[in-house]
Amino acid sequence: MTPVSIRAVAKSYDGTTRVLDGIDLDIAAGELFFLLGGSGCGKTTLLRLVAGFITPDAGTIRFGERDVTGIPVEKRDLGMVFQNYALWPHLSVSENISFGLEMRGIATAERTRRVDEALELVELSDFGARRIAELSGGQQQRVALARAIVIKPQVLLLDEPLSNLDARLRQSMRSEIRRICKAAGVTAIYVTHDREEALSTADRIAVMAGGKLAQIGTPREVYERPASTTVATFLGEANLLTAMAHGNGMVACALGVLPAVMPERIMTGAALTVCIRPERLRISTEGTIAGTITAQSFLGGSAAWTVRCGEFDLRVDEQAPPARAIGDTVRLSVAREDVVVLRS
Amino acid sequence: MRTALGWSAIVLVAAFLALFLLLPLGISVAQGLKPSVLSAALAHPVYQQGLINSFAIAVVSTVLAMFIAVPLAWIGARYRFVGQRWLEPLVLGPLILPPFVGAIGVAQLFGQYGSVNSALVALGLITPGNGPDWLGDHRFAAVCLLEALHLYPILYLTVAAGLTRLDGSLLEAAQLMGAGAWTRFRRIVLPLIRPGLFGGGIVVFVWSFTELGTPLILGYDRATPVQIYHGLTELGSNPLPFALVVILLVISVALYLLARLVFLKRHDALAGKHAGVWVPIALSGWRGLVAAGIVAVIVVLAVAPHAAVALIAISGSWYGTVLPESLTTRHLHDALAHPAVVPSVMNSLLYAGGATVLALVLGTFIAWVGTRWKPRGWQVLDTLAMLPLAIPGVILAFGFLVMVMSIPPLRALFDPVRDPTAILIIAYAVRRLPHVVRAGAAGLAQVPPVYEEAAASLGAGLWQRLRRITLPLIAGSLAAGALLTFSFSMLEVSDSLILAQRHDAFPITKVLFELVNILGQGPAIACAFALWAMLFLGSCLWLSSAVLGRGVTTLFRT
Repeated sequence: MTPVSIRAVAKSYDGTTRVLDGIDLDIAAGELFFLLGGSGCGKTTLLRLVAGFITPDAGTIRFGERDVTGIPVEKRDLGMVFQNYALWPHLSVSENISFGLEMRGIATAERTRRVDEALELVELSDFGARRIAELSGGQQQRVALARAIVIKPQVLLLDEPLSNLDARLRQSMRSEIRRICKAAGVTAIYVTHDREEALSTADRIAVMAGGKLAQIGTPREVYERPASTTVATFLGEANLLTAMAHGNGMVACALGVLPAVMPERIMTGAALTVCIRPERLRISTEGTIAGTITAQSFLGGSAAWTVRCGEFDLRVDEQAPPARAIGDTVRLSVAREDVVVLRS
Repeated sequence: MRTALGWSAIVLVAAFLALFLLLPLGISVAQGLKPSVLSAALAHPVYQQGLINSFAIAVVSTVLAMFIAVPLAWIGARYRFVGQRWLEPLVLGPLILPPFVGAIGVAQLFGQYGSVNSALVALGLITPGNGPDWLGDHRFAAVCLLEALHLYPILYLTVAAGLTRLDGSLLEAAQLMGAGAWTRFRRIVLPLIRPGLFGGGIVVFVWSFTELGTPLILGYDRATPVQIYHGLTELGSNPLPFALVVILLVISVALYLLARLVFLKRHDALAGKHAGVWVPIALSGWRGLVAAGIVAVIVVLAVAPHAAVALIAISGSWYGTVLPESLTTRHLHDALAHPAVVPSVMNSLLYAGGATVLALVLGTFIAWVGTRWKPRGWQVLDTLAMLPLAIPGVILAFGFLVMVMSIPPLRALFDPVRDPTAILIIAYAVRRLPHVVRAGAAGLAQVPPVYEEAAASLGAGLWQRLRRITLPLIAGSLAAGALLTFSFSMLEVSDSLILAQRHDAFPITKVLFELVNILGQGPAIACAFALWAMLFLGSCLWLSSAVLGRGVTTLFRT
């Protein structure tokens, strides 16, 4: 297990626009670390820098004590799962997995043993002799994982590994990937644009936007305590309200004066943005915020209501929702810890 | 079209191919398939030697062509470097330079008093007149080299097509596993481009195995195609050439079938929706110059024989010196003034033009049937149309001649001694039909049927859909196929030498061949004529490739 440290890494493809700008990142040994962001945020570039397919304009990348910044890809000792798997179609499943072991000059007997072990880990023990084209998408995904892990790489890179699978398979593969990474005890960097994938699978997440790291934290931290509007909206539905610091840990906004989680050193009267997640707003008779339902979307186990409070349309998610009609007046309440003040 | 009209068109096309493809082949095969004739030919030491030599030419030419084409394709697909935009079209150039013309140039470069020996004299390595007779001693090598330099573009195209569509992440994955550049090439790239390598290799192999013009001009007579050509004059008394035809045919067809089988097993390693990045590496500074240099050297080598031809065409006297002593435009004038030259250009334009139109009509229809309509048994028509790829030109020409001469009603219509126009147009067209079919099919495959369906939903009938939607969309591909048909027909060797038998009906190639064999100014005038022809064709192709881009790649797949 190897920690990865990235220091002041910058990259530009055309010399002017920075695709990555001053990235500092420490990934702990054995951690399953996610790079999450929309398209063009630089997450794939960062992954390819770590892999060594491209070299940074500035900064260093270390695996443990070893500076790998100038080391060619094939000397970095990495495993990678590609978005399209990149399984070699002219080789069988076993031959694909065994390739990296061959490159490391491992003896045939040992190779066979480790390939079998890897196949067992991904639950494809009987598939060694198959050709790649004979496998389903999910099975190909497992072979790609096995091929990357069998060499016991210092770092495992996963580039949108589930984006080619259908939604149902994607869900089951998430926990599968986590299980396999943890069983292999490998440091893994996982790139995705799918927030659910990141929230459900990661040890920690780095949310990226515009070539920078917007926030780093555990899934719960980045979801519940987003540092900016970008992070807040990227990780889920969010009611974003402009507000003003009112003193004594209170903010004034369209919903009235509410207790809020205030960062330090905020001056009374400062302009702020607050974020309230729709599922944290509770409809109850004791609520202090009055509103009218203007739109509804029934989702089975839950419902998403649009509630007009004064000038502002709030989204409110309710579990096991009772029947409500458009035009009904409701009262809402929210706890102090669910009103999050964002950096503007 | 799924009606009587469509079926009658199919029957018509099939009948045409039966008459002008199967029948000529059938007649010559029937003559040669007699066990006594076959065993006599196989037992004949001269013919044995011819077969062995032809086979050896094919093996050596194909291997040479691979060693030229694969590195070139790799450099072209993987790297970007200075001058690439200019060098890449030149790489394909040799394909349009007729190798038998190059042979004239080779004779000048390597003759006893040619440039190479003169250079050696100048360097003091040999004394004048005592230089080695390169050509006399190395006719085999000269034939192989010319064939390889002529045919490597075919391999280049098929290999480059495979390389550019290769999913780059397959290589990145291997690199991550610790595979170095050579291992990646050997273990991943080579197996994945094998279909292209094999497919192109078979085309080159069969082509050089059955090529008539080059060995004929270089005087390498112990090769089967040349033996068949010489046997034509004594067919009445000697049936053995028929047996040679059968043997050549069986080997060629067997190789094509093998290639098709291999193609059926091809892996789908082509870039898909989520394919990895395959960004060509930009080479700057001296690396870029090295890459450009490698490509340039090969291009120069490939063009050297034809450059020599061009030099002969404009040189006053060139004998015992490295470069000509003086330059003149006399031969260029003489060539145009020669009584046989201008008529032969007109004849070739007529034959090649007619053949292009015929091939275009037949080929587009066959491509359309195979990609859009697909009625029961369409594969038969498709296979029939692709068959000429597997059939050596010399054999088809031979078959045409035998058929026309031995069936009286056909002789009345097509007697080449009387007027070879019709039979030559048909022969050229049948021979190049596969290119047009492939081009049309490739074009149609890229045009989703939904465009035609949309037109149909708006009330467009079949003819309107074809004219307004389909044909404009595939026009580029068809033009590429037509162009290839036209240029190859202009310089077609086998059919022209065998079927054109009246002086005023000679096409360009036959006049060239006759001129070369005239002593004195003959070869110089031939070179001048060849220079004119190459300039004309070169500008044709350059113009069209500028218009069409790189659409020609699809045309050489088996």
